Amino acid sequence: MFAVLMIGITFALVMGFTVQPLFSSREEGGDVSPTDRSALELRKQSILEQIKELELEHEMGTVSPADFQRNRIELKQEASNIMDQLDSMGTDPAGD
Amino acid sequence: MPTYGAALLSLSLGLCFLTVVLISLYVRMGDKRLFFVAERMCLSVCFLVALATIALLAGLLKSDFDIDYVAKYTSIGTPTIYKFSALWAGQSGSLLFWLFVLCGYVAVVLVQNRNRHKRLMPYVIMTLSVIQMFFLLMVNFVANPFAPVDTDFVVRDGLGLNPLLQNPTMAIHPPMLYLGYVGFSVPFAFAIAALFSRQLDAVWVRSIRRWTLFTWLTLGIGILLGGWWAYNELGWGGYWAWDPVENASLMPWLTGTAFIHSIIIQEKKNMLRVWNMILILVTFLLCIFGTFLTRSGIVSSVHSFTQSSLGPMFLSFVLLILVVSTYLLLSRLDDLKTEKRMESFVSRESGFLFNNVVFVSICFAVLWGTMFPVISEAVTGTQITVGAPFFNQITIPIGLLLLTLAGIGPLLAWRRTSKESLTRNFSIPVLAGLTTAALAMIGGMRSIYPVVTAGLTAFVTSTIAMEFWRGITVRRRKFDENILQALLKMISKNRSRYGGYIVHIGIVLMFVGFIGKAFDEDREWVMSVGDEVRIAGYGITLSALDEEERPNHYTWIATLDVTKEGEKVTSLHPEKRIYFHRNPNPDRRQPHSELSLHSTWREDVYSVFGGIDLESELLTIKIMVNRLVRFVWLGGYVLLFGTVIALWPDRRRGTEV
Repeated sequence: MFAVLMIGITFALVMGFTVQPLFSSREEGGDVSPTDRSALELRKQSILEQIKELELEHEMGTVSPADFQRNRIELKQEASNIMDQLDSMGTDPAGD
Repeated sequence: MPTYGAALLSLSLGLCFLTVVLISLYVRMGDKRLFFVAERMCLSVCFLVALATIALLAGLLKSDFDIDYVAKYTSIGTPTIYKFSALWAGQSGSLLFWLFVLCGYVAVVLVQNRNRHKRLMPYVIMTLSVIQMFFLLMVNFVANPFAPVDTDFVVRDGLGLNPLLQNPTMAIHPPMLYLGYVGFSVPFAFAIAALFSRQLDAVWVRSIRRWTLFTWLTLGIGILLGGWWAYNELGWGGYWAWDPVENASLMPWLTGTAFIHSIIIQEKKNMLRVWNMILILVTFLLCIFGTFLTRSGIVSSVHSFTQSSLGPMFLSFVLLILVVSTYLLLSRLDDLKTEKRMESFVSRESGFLFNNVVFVSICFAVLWGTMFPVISEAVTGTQITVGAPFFNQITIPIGLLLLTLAGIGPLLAWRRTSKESLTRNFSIPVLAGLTTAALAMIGGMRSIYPVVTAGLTAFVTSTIAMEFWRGITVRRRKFDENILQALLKMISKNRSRYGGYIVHIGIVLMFVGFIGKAFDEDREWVMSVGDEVRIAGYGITLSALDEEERPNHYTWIATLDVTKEGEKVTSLHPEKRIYFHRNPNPDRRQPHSELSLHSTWREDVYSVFGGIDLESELLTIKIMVNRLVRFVWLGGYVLLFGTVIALWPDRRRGTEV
């Protein structure tokens, strides 16, 4: 009898918790729409980190001056392209 | 309690099924409320499974022998800690524990990503729910841990836990392995979500990077603890036997290691996207396949559970994952491909790629050797088992290649490395490696592998030391810091980089330990009290034989006095125990050899009490002198330390997962 009571209480609690969003408006709870902007933001962040890492490795002497110059120019070019793409997309409403 | 526990599992299964249905409807209809209800249902499943696990634990601790599982794996005399660890000692309990760990991970994923990755999360929840559903089907219909005891009399005491499992390490080893095995469900779910949603850029990779590292760490610790347990409990003097179940845990660790290296390339260079997807899918597949190997009884192993009907169900699940993953991968192949190519053979990208190829090659060799008995039986009708020599022959050279790459990789530049850099970066490490190899040969090493390993450990150590020293020098020059400040700041500002280097040092230390295997010695004697034997410069005297009755076993204790050059080193006390000694049925009494060892950095003196002839009081004693074993465990600690550094959150980078 005690077990049946426990099962009943657990079931009621779980159902109460799970179905609650059904009684809210269709629009509540934030945006779940997709966005591609986050990928570009991540890429930009990654390239900026790579530039910092390259500068550190150059200072450490792990990367030769020739390798450093070439890689730095290429990374900066890529960062610039991404920033252009981000500018053309405008601001991000979803913040995904 | 059994009724309540079983009802919780049934309710969880129903909710899990509904979660998958609601997410599917949300994907079709776009009504956000369906998503939020599904999210809450998924959380509820986690809560209910946790309650069910607590219910079983309560049964184990209270010795509720109405539950068949409790009666089979505990007895009234079982110490409390082992009543607790009995949760994962048997088939159905360990499945519930698998599910419990998975639910813990799912709950964390849901809470962490509540307002993030909104394009991926519906598919993440769906994938994780399908995995939960599979295990819920198992514990509800195939191996229910709450099944009542099947006897026509009242069970007053249970059978008790296998004595080999009554060891503190064994209480930790399986949970760590499970944390690793189960943890790969999360990166797998994100990978499947990325394929479904076609969001195949670096977002999903970034989301699971630290999850993967944590999972990889726990699986690695689980494997090491298994080795520690084997070495300290099983009494054969080794820590790795290439047992099929050991291999089953090693394989996903190998592909997981490849994955945590190659996602760096995807994050930094947006390359290897197909490869990374394949790696994580294969890693999860190997986790489930390993569970299938352990539970199906298809291969014989000391670790296996008894043969059961779970095998075909696990195999079906493996096939389902394989088919769905392959379909998704092939249908998204064009989206996954990138136009970027490796610019040079001598670049850090290609270093990572070689490293990946080597890891996958070792994994394939291990898989082949593990499955060879099954394959040979299917083809020729005769089961041919391959043992340690096969695995050693294949994996040692490949492992050494991997060690070489661990030294080369960090000193290569991204994109391409000039000759000038190569000369500058590799002169000192190559010199260090060659000198060490030469010194090893002068010191008496003659076998090729130990000499090469010694050289390579020096090579890798010096590359890492150079990286640290150069970093410290730069900081000291720029910020006027002392060496310690510069070291700490440097690590703190580049945690993944220097954490990774420390992990590599851990691996080097383990290889140092592996070198010792080439110089191990062992002998077995029949001795009586007063006898003295000699091995590897040690004198071993059997000075006493005692016996004692303890709560859950009877034991004979040998006292072995160990001397070297006339000086006493230590006394060892190996035991021969009989568990369940009061059981009237002699077949149920279980003999067990409890070893005793003296450990130093140079070598371990390892003693095993093999047996006793009670009439003549003659003892069978085996002594092994195992070299450099401590370095293996030290390597494990260093690996743990390095991974924790790499995992430590960096506040400056925000709240990434």
